[in-house]
Amino acid sequence: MSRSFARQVAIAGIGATEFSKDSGRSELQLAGEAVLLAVKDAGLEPADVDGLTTFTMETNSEIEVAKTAGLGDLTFFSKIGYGGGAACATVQQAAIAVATGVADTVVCYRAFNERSGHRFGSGAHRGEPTSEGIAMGWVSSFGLMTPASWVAMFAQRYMHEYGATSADFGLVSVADRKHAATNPKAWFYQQPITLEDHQNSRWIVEPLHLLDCCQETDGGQALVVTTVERARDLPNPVAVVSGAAQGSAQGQQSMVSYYRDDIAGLPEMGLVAKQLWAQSGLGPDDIQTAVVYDHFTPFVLQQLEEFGFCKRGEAKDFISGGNIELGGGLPINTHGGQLGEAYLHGMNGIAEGVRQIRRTSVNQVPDVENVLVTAGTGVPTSGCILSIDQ
Amino acid sequence: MTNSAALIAEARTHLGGPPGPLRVGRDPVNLPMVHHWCQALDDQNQAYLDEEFAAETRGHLIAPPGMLQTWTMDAPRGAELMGSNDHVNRLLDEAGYTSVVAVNYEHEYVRELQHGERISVRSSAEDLSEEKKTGLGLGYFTTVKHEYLTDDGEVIGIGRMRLLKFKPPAAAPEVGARPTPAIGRDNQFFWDGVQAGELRIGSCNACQTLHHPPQPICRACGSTDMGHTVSTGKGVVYSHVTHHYPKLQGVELPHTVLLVELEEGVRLVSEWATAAKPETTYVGQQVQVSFTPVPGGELRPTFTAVS
Ligand SMILES: [Zn+2]
Repeated sequence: MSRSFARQVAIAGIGATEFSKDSGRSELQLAGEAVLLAVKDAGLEPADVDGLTTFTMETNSEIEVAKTAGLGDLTFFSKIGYGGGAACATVQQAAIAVATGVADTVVCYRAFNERSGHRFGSGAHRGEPTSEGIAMGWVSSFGLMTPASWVAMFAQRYMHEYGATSADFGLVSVADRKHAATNPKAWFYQQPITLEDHQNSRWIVEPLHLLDCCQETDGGQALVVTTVERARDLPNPVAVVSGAAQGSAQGQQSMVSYYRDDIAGLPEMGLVAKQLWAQSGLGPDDIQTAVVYDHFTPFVLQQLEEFGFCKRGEAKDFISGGNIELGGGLPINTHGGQLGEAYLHGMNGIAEGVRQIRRTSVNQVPDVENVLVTAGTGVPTSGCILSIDQ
Repeated sequence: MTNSAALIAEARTHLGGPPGPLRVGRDPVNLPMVHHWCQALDDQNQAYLDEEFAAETRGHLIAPPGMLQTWTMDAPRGAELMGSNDHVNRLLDEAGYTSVVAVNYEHEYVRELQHGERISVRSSAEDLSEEKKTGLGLGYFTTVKHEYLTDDGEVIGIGRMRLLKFKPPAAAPEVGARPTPAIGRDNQFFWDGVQAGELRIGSCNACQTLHHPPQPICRACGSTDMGHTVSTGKGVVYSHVTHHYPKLQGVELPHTVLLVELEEGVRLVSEWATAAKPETTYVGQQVQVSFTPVPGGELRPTFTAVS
């Protein structure tokens, strides 16, 4: 199999606004117009676009541009650092995504009011707020300012629609802390909790208790990725990446996607799930253990539903009776999760997935063949499946 | 406060207008009250207290002129008649300048009062300043003219009271000011609407699709011809949270945040109007928009529960 994307990918459309000293419109509008013009030039529809790539310096996030231009669900989005150095790298990353089937149609973009707005040469930042700043202003100016409160808004609606309770959320916390209790690397080593402890913990943001919220951690985590062939020559058992996917669903916002038709699910995670099952040829029954992102307990339930471990609204039944604890049908977060081990933005969870495949976890699940690992919820997200080398 | 300016303009039309109803003092000018006054103020003027001295110098005991106001204190008033001063106060209240503090009181004495005279008072609006920024908040200085009369209608004194009518500070000082919304080209109309007392929703002029939060391009048809429509402000609570921890700048805790679904079909994040926070919040609760200040004094579209 060829490992190069060279000569497999083409640029099919180009589009630009006029170039001026004072555009008279927002940077978001400039980005949206340019993207739509490029799509039109390519003879495509906005909904055909399933990937976006831009600069880390771009003020218009992929999700704001996607929402504004009416693009489709995104399975690839990336930002590249180092100012103007990113320009051709946008094409490189788009090419990698398209050549490997991660996305079919990726748009590379960059838009700004560098002359009439914030001038790079002017020092301190002044002028019009960015589209991301405006998006956050819709919640912060009403006193909705913390991650717990953003998640709580979804949780309340989920409880209303499916009859889930705070005690159901508590089961996630109990499972995580049970696993952390036997993990010497975990912050909460030897400190299991009961459901009563969860229920008695103070309110952070109703309906979330303190023990629904993960801890804060100082630490670092890194992973090395190479070919399976090469990995076979290295000392450790091989953890094969059977699938890895990104998802940003229509109407996506960062933590506050309150404006979509349905806010009791996590469609971006559903998009990840669909890709992972397709890439790996696996399904929920093939997963022996999962690392399910747990910065706040409620979203663990929605994730289990989006991946099809149970039906919509039935996660509260799925997680009962110790089913997500060691010895249950689907033990999750065997390292203790972010509630129990450490909060490292999910990277420590990938490491636990590797340990389960290597059969070296302190809470080893028997006969593991495939591990699902998910990433942050409420935001454009990702997931992967790690498998033993057959 | 859409019509704040209009309310103030209307208030000015009442300046110099007719006084309110005559309020008659409970007791005529009398020695016991004069005694209390002189004792409290340590005033030993014999014209007030010594009958002989007073007879020689004034012909009879007189009341201290400074007591002018006291003879009509607690005078009952009829509610049915409104004088110009009542109108000015009412309009300032409606414009949001609901708090009041007395600044000074000037007396003008026409003649001395003797015991047994019954004093009445009537009040009218004399002056209204421009809006002033004061230590207490934004406000207007009003001058109320009190005319003091005897039973036969003789004016025996005039009082001019200057009051500051001001907007009560919306913030308990310790929580600080609420973060301001980020306002750019694409959502300026929304916040202008809040100032104008309108809940505006972004709408596409080409296909009429509504967008909230607003955006510069219609995601339904791609048009950049965006306008807005004015919501009825009626909706239901779609979801809600109550924040307890941590402390937040510009937020009194616990703080309930609402996700409201408007009857036009779009949702927005908001909160209860501070003064009208209901005891419970629940999904499906019927709500109506109002425009009220948050800590720091900025206006927000807020909601009240409707039964
Ligand atoms: Zn349209």
